[in-house]
Amino acid sequence: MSVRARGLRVVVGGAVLLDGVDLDVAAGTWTCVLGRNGAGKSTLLHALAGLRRAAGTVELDGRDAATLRPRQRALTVALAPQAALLPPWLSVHDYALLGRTPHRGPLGAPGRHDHEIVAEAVDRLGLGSLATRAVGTLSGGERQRAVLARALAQEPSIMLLDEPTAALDLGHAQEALELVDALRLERGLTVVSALHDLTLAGQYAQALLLLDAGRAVISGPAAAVLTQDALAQHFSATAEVVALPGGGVRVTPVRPSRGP
Amino acid sequence: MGAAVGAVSLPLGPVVRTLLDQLPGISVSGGLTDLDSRILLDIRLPRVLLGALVGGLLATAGAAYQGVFRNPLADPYLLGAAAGAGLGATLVIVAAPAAATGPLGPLPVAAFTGALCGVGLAYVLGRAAERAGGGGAALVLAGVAVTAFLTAAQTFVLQANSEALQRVYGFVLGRLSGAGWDEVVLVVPYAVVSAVVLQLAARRLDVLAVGDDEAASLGVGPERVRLVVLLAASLATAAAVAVSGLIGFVGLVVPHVMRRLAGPGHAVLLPVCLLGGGAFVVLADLVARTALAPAELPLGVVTAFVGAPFFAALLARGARR
Repeated sequence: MSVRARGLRVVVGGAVLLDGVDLDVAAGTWTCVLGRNGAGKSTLLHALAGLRRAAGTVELDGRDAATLRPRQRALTVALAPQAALLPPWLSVHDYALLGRTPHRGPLGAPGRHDHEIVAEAVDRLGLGSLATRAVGTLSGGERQRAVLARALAQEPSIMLLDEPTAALDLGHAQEALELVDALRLERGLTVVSALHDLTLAGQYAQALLLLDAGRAVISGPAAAVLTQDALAQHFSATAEVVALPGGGVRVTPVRPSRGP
Repeated sequence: MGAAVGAVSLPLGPVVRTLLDQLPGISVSGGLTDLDSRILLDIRLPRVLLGALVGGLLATAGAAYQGVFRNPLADPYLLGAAAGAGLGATLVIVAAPAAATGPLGPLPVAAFTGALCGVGLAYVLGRAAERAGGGGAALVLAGVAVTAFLTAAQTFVLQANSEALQRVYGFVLGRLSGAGWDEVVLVVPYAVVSAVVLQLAARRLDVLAVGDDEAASLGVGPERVRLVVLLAASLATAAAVAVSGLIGFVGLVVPHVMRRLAGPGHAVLLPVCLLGGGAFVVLADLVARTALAPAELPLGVVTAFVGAPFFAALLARGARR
């Protein structure tokens, strides 16, 4: 399903968090939202998920999202938040099972089908051996994968990922992103994610959107967005950008030269 | 058993037979004297039933408050709900003693309003204290402050109307003495409504545990669930307080024990609390009636003997985490 946003504007307590952001994501593609801390990445994802009151419009698959009932929207869009609240007493399986909520009526108990889907999602994130462990006992990386498992169990067409690799080491980060990409290709999943690692963002996403102080400043393929000038202007960063053969770019921080 | 034991002790066998005899279609000879069977059917039985209802209501209300506030220390007594209901009920008893009967009379309505005001006040204060960095105990501290204030207001009303003191004394300490069929009839409709509403909201209450934003992203409106559950839990509290006064700690102890036994899912936890709370209060009432027989301890004293150390243990465990 495609995602299209026009003129998204979010104001909280007089502070403008998002200021007229447009976004176009074709069905089955991956778009990364970039920007320094506080640029509005999380706010944009929350607005797309319908969790922030925002001026402007969001269309999901050509349909105005404001007309969807909360449960319909939850059947379409899943959000894996950055700082998820995991009830420490729940087992990994039961936590991921919450992702099945929109698929059941408000009263319905989870059925065998729900448990199978959850078990598969938990397995795919490599948590199969931890399924009965309480989430309170997991490491940071395992918790993050549990949140992804829950979003996966929701079986959405559109997945919103807020810093899915923040607590993961490089190997686990690659593994998680590869998994999301595999699902994207398998199921035609549309992905919008915020990512800190610019090189990883360029490698996995077909399109990047750079936010600065709530405004969308540049969008397009990695080579167009991640330029030395853009990094200097919008991240106050000094970095060398090298185009990679498989598409994407490598961003290497450069220290200002000093005398010996 | 609660029906058999008491200041006048009745043998268990005949008690069971007499109770069976009351069921439609069953006729067995009880073997109790007329006086004994009057004691059983008009005094003991309504008291046991009322105890079970009150305990069940307080325990489910406690479990619901704990779920809604994501706070394991929430309890109708500690949150100010019970004190608010007590104040509301006291005002009605003092102002219009004749009107204070019947399920739709002003007594339960005033208790319900008082309970909502108590919880509302504690919640607002607790949120403010939490934002100021108070942590998870802030809500309970706010509730204790609200309880102290409302109880003081209640005492003031009582002292100013000392002729009502006798009638209202039981409220402050919690009691089931003097319970009759009237009280049972008063509480049953509220018990049914609140239990059904809470049961219907149980699965959405589970989802609330992951936080408001995520609950919303799963299609569950957190504000609406919270409002419905708060209303139902406060209704349960008010109904219990209106007939039995302030019985503390049932809503704290029972849900914690039941969560251990039945797991954290509210769809199972809430009905289990209804049963467990009922059993707990009937048992506590048994102790209240017999410990100093023929004198009676207020029921609230017995539950506090069990509940207060339990509460202290919960606090200590929370502090270590």
